[in-house]
Amino acid sequence: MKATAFEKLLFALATDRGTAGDKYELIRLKLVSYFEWRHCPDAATLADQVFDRVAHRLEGGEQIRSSDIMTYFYGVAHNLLLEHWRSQQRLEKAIADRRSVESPVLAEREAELLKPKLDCLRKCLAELPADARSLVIRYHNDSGGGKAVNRSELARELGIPINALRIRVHRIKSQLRRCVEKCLSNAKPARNG
Amino acid sequence: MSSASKAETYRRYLLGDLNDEEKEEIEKDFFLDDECFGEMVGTEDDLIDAYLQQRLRPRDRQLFEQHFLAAEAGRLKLATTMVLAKAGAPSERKGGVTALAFAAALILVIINAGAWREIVVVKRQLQEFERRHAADVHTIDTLRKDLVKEMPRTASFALLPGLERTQGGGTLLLLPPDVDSLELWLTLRSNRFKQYSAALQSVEGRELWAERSLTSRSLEHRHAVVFQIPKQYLQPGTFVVELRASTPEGAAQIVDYFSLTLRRP
Repeated sequence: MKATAFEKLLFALATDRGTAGDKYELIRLKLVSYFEWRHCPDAATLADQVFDRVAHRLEGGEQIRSSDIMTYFYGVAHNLLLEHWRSQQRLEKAIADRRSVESPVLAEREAELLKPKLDCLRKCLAELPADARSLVIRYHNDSGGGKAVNRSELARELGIPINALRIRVHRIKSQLRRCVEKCLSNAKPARNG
Repeated sequence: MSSASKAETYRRYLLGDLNDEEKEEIEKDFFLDDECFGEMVGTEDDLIDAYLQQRLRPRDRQLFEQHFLAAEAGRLKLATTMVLAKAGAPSERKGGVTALAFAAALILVIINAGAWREIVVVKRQLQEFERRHAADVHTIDTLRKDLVKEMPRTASFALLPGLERTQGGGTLLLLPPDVDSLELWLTLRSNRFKQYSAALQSVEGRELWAERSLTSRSLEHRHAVVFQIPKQYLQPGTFVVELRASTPEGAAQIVDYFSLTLRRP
């Protein structure tokens, strides 16, 4: 994305740069979650593509009212999802024509990946900033009173609503997963042909 | 909509139990409303917790395994929660995730990845884990090590027939380290015979290993003959598998050739 397009995008989100940055982060988190919940394998890349498209249109002079911006993002994301599915169908058909049965390999890969996945998770957890690490661990802690009670207490302690806590933790876990994916791709041998 | 029915709708969304129109309605909600997004991620956390603590209703459990865990992101979220729950557990005997649930979840993740396929060995391991750990709770780390150690070291691959019998050709199979045997699912163009035999050959046609009296097994909408190759024959290189069938008259007939190139990471 060009710097000018990015500036226009931020300005469309909010006139104040700090607020715009926060909004950008939240929209990205929503986009990544959306694509993950729709089972797209590379959710982060698709989220970036949505930003690219919106920024490109803004730079091209399209006017989007700030009150409509989220509807606009959703529309672009949904169209991209449909495009992604169409290309996946073409890809799957091409693969099916060549090798129609490969699930046993996938099952084996999953078993193979189990140990590195857990190792990468631990490594990435250790690399998180201390406050973020402590927060996600406490969020998942269940020291007797139940997780719901613990989470409410944690939100109260931080002085934020429970939903804000959930989103904050979701963001950290999203970063953690990106780190694990990167770690696994560095550790993974070449794929089978 | 009450908050309980909202949470139930979000739950159904995450379990893939809504139609497209309902899904899109929820998605618009969470894009437009940060509160909805927060509730959605909270519902996801609760769903994963409930799965790990074996609190899901049977149908939801099935949907969780078939839909939520069908995506790599879902499997990674489950693993992340397990590791975080372990990291926060004050001692090995406390915490919401029991070692048995952890072991079961890990095994189910593996089963799910090939849910349609018969993974008898893994199912047996689950029973063994249940038997061994019913009265005892181990640390998650110990279980993980046990599980990885006891994981079947058979690499399974499916091959399509009709590949060229050439020196450079062959489906590339990357063998995991420490593999004990290779299981080849030789897919059939048609399932006309009752008995088959398979032989691993060098590209020059020298027979290295053979199995006889093999029968076909169903593999999705196809049939395949499962051919096991022991470790000592798993040397890097290109090989051919010749599949023969016994005709009703008792004669042997070549059914197909499969070529493969074995490599180790």
